[in-house]
Amino acid sequence: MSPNTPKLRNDPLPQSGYLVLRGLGIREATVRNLAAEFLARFPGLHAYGLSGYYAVTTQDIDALCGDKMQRWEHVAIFRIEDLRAAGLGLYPTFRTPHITITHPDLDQLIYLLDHTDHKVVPNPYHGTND
Amino acid sequence: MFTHTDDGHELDLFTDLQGMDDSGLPWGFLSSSAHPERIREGAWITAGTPDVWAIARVIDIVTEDSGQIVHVQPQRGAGTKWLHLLPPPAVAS
Repeated sequence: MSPNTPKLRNDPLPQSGYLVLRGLGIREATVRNLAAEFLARFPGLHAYGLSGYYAVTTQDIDALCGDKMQRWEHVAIFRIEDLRAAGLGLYPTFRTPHITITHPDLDQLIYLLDHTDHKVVPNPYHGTND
Repeated sequence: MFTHTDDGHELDLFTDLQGMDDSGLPWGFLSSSAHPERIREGAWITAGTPDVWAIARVIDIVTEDSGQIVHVQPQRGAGTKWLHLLPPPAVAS
């Protein structure tokens, strides 16, 4: 990989499991800007990208809610196989359990995340450090 | 360019607090900051998105082909809890 591509981990993503993303309350304009900044930083991947985390078990999801996702009032939970089936790219980037979700078309990235089956749940740990 | 948080605070660095790069830290482009003069190593700034933001320390600023990248270490908890870490507003003389 050249420096203008994100560093990929050697450990592949699990075939099944979950992707945890920020949930309700984030504006589309914000998501679009984040995805565009990823492409501007890592143009070698030729795709817009967003950060998320994978979880294998529900205990993993709980741990993410209490740590990396603690700032978000809600989290969105997808099944990894559903995202792959929808045509989204999933890359194990940087440090475990970080994932980059990609698509070469920004509108499609937003549309597919909106329309792939997922559930949005309240984060029980939100605000516990406030 | 996002200049303020939803609750009215100036946003110094647009960044995904959920994101990271090789450093393991959230990052943002210095060029997308509305207040680049505030961003120097060791400084406390506001960082995040309009709806989810934090008080964060600037860890470093690195130059890449894509531009100058700012790495930050956010404080845990709500940004409003740590506002006292920010420098006082500049006063025109």
